[in-house]
Parts: sequence; C-alpha cells; structure tokens
Amino acid sequence: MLWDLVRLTFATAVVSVAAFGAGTLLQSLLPTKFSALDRLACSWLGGFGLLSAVLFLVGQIAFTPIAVCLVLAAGVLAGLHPARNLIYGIADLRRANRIRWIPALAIAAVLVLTAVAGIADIAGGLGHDGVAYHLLAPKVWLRDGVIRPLPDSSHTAFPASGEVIFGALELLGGPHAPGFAAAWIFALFLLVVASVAARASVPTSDTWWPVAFVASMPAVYSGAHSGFVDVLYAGFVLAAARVGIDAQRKCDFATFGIFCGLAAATKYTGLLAIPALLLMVIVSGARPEDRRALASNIGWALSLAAMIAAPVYIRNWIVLGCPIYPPPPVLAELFHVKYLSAQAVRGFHAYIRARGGGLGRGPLAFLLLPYNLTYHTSNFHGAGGIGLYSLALGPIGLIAWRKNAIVRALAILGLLLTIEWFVTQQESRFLIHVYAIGAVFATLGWSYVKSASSRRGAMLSAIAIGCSLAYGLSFIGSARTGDVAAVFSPERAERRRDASIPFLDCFLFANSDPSVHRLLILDPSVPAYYLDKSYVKIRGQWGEQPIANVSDAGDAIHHIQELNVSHVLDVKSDLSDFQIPKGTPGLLLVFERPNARVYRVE
Amino acid sequence: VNDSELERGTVLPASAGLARSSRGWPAVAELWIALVIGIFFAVRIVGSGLAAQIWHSLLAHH
Repeated sequence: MLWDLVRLTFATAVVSVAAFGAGTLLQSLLPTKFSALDRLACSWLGGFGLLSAVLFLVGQIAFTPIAVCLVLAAGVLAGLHPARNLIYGIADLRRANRIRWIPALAIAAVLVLTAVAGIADIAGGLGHDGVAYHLLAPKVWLRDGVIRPLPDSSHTAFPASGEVIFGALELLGGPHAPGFAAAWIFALFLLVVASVAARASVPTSDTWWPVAFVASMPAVYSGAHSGFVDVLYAGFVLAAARVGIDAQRKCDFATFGIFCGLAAATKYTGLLAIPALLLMVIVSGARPEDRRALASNIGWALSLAAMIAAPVYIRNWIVLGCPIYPPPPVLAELFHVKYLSAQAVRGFHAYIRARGGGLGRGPLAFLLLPYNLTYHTSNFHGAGGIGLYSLALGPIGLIAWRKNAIVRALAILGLLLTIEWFVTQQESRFLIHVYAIGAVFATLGWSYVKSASSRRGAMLSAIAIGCSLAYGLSFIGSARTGDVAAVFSPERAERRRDASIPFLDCFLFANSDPSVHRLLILDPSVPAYYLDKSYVKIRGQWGEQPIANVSDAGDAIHHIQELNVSHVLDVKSDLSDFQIPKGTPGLLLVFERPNARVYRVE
Repeated sequence: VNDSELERGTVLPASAGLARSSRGWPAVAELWIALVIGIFFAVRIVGSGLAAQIWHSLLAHH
C-alpha cells in the first residue's frame, strides 16, 4: 500500500508539474488585470488542456511509454522553475486570499476523501461510464501504443482531453492513478470557481465560500471522480468565461478561444457552450467600444478554439466517417458512419432522449427547474442534489448585484447554458458550471443579507448553508464509504470486487493464463476494462458491429481463424444465454463457471 | 464593503445603493430563505416516509 501511494503521488506530481509547465505558455496571454489567484487557476487548468492536446496529437502516431514520457518531461522542465516560484510565493497568495476555517475544512475534507477513495479499484459493469469508456480507452491506448477509438465502444470516440491525461497517469502510477489524481483535477476546477467568485464581486473574505458550496454538492462531486470528466469540462467553460469577462487585447481573446477549444476537446457539449460564451463576452459590457475590433477579436478567438478542438473531430471524420460520433440526429442524416448501423444510431438517440428527459421539456418544466433541481435532483440523475445555496440565496445575490456587469454576464451565461442543457440532455452532471455560477450568486446573496438584514436574516442564511453543507458532505462521505473501506481492508476490497465486477473469475483467469493472447468476447455486456489482454468484441454496448462480416456468435466461430484470437469468452448474461454449444469443433473448454465459459481455439 | 474591495474593483457600489434604497427588501429576502428551508425539511420528511408514519399512527389512534 505504501509503495502504491508513493507511485500514485509521483505520477500525480509529474503530470501536475508538466501541466503547470504547459500553463506557462498561457501566462503572458492572460489579461493584465488578472490577480495571482486568477493566473494560477487559469494557467494551471489551461496547461492541463494544452498538455492533453499535445499528448493527443502525439498519440495519433505513438502513445507509447517513450512518447508519453518525452512530452511529460518537456512539460516538467518548463514547469519546475515556475512551480518553485509558486511554492516560494504561496505565503503571499495565502495572505491575499484568506480562507476561513469552515470552507477550508469542507474543501480539504472532500479533496482528501477523493484522493484516498481514488486508491480503491474501480468496480462495476458497463453501467459505470468510467468502466465503459473513460478508463477503458486509455488502458487500451497504452496497450496498443496508439490513440484510436475502439470500434466496440463508440463512446471512446468522444473528445478525450481528460482520458488522455488518465493514460499518462496510468502509465506512471498504475490503474489507480486516475482515481487518485481526481483530487488534483477537482482542485483545479475549484481554483477556477474561486477566481470567478472573486471577479464577480464576492468580498475577499468570502471568496472561498462558493468554492466550499460547490465542493459539497453531491451532484457536482459525481462528475469529479471514478473517471468522470464533467468537472474538468465545467472548469474549461468557467475559465473561458473568466478570461472572456476581462478580455480586451487580442491575446486575451486568444486565451479565451483556447479555453473554448479545450471545452470542446473535452466534451461534445463544449460545442454548444462556445456560442453561449461568445454571447456573454459580447453583452458583458467590458468590451472596447469599437465593434469592428470586437468582431475581429472574436474571429481570432474562434479560430484558436477551432484549432485546439479540431484534432479529435477531424480524427473522427477520417476514422469513423463523422466528426461527431455517434452522430447526433441532424448529422446522422448526412453522414454514414462506420461500425454503427442506422438502427443502432436511432437506438442511441432514443436512449439519450429518454435518459435526458428530466421532469419534462415544456415551458412549465423549465420555469420549475430551480425548484426541481434543488429538491428533486435525482430525477436528473444527480442523487444528493446541489444544496439550498442557489435557491435560497442565489436570487437575492442576483437581484442585489443586478447592476454589476460581471454578475449580469454570468447570469446570461448561466441562463444560456441551462437552456441548452434543457433542450438537449437533462443530466445533472452536465450542468456543473451553472451550479458553480449559482454558488457564486448565493455567496453574493449571503453577503447582502449579512450587511442589509437583521440578525434573523443572517441566522436563516446560516441555517440554509449549514444544512446544505452537512447534508452534502455526509452524502458524499457515505457515497464513498465503500471505496475507502476497500482501500484499508483487503477483505472488503475482495468482497466488493466479487459483488460488483461481472464475470470477475474469467478476467482473473484470462489475465493470469499466459496462453491467452487475444480474447474473443461474444456478449456486449462484458466489461472489457478488467481484461489486461488484447480482445475483440463482436457487438458493442450501443449496437456497434466492429467486424464487418461478423454479426453474431455463429459468424464469429465461422471466421475464428481470421479473427486471430487464442480464446473465446462466452457468458450467460441479462442479454442472452450461452451462445456456443459445448463441444463445438475447434474449441476446447478450458475454464467454466455457472455464468461463463472460456474456450481455447484449437 | 470596504475601500480596498471597491478599489480593486471586485465590489461595485451599486449593490450597496440597493441595500439602502429598498427598505422592505431584506424582509422579503428573509421570508424567501425561510420558505426554501421549510420546503427542504418538508420534502425530506415526506421523502423519508416520516409523514406517512405519523399520518398512519394518527389514523390508528382514531
């Protein structure tokens, strides 16, 4: 365990210093009026994105240990000196950004919990997005030595700035490194929230309160660990907003564009966030009077955004037949994609519509969103909720500070992002940036109530905040109790693996038997993440058909020699019974459990 | 709102102006916060089934 911890700390330190080094490229491009906190938050997060962009490009040719280490080494070399300066200047930073002990405690508790729980093995089936693709993709990329979408898992074609860094972390720190480093990635996001809060008129003494509010929201936290990249995406959107608010020079707009591009290089929804961010920048009122200059600057920002985001979309177009894969409804009519039939694409759309339906898509459902998101977040797949902060204090802050141009700009951004979310997919995790904006408004409302209201108002605010903090932190703690227990108790870890990993025995057999070189997996519900060997699936979770002339087990057995596999895994799952009869010629049963059989190809 | 915060531009005087000009506003704000907290406890109590238990025990006594 101690050695594991040393290795995880080393991996996280190397990648974070490399990201810090990459971030130095942005330092001179940031708006001149940025404070030390703003610079730290935006350059470090931006460095994360730039490092990932370089690794992604290099990985198209070689995602090998040497290639990854060379890129990281360049980042570390660039980052060592600035990191040393940061350590020496940390006292000044602390003096300028005093943090009260309650928010400090809440933030520290969540980050420490994230790091500790992250050491546990990931457990779960394909219902867990981390297992299905966030962590599967980097594992396979490292094994294959190249970054390519997996034909059996269409979601591995999603923009992957987070997953590429997971790959680098896994290379240096092993399979637990992405989980452990989630604390660092979450901290980067929280720094950006602090930066936005400080700019949005939150008094200096209260800057860290909205950060604590966000850290203690279970709905936010669910997008911050176990391979999820939602807080990373939200961080890029908020950083773009933070830079956009103060952008005046051409290079400021360049940084704004880079963050927009990084958002689109992290999640497809970034493509929708960019127009919202642009509109916010145009109406924020902090722009030069010259409209032509603004148009030129925005054009410049868009060019850089396109340059940063383009690689993944061009790669998808070339490799899979459509820039966005699986294609959304409009593009599905225009592009014929590989590996997915029209029926499979329609099935995926139907799933997204059903999952993202929330509590309706009508005008009344939209107006009731503040209420439903606060009290019924689980209807949006955000169990644990977002606390009472935004609903209880947010409107007060918004009204009290309505003449503040920055608050107005953030309100417009929050509204636009919410509308986009409402009409596309109402998944709570996808609204994290808006929750953060809500937390900033809540802190503004609280500071207004403290200054303008009686003691009763302050007390009511304290109750709302106290209840939300206590409820949120206890929910987050209980949600990760199993992970923490698995870290400290090998028996608990084993019980958890047995209970949560489907077909575990087969994976243990295949991983330990040296004669298994390449496994043919017949059932789409088998989570290949747990397999350490090369594999081929005949069907993916979303109806993917990776091999052109093989659509079922019969076809696969017929073409078994062409598939170049050493073994075949046949399972009895919720989807189907065993697909190969025992005694099939050319296949020798070498491993059997009640719900799984492994055959050796003779 | 202190001078240094105004100086560094993080707090605009407009907000303080609103606090002075709208005398009834703090009371509305207090009422709103109380309402949100009240609904929270109501939703939690109903959600936990406690309300149903109380209702059933009341019915049982009558």
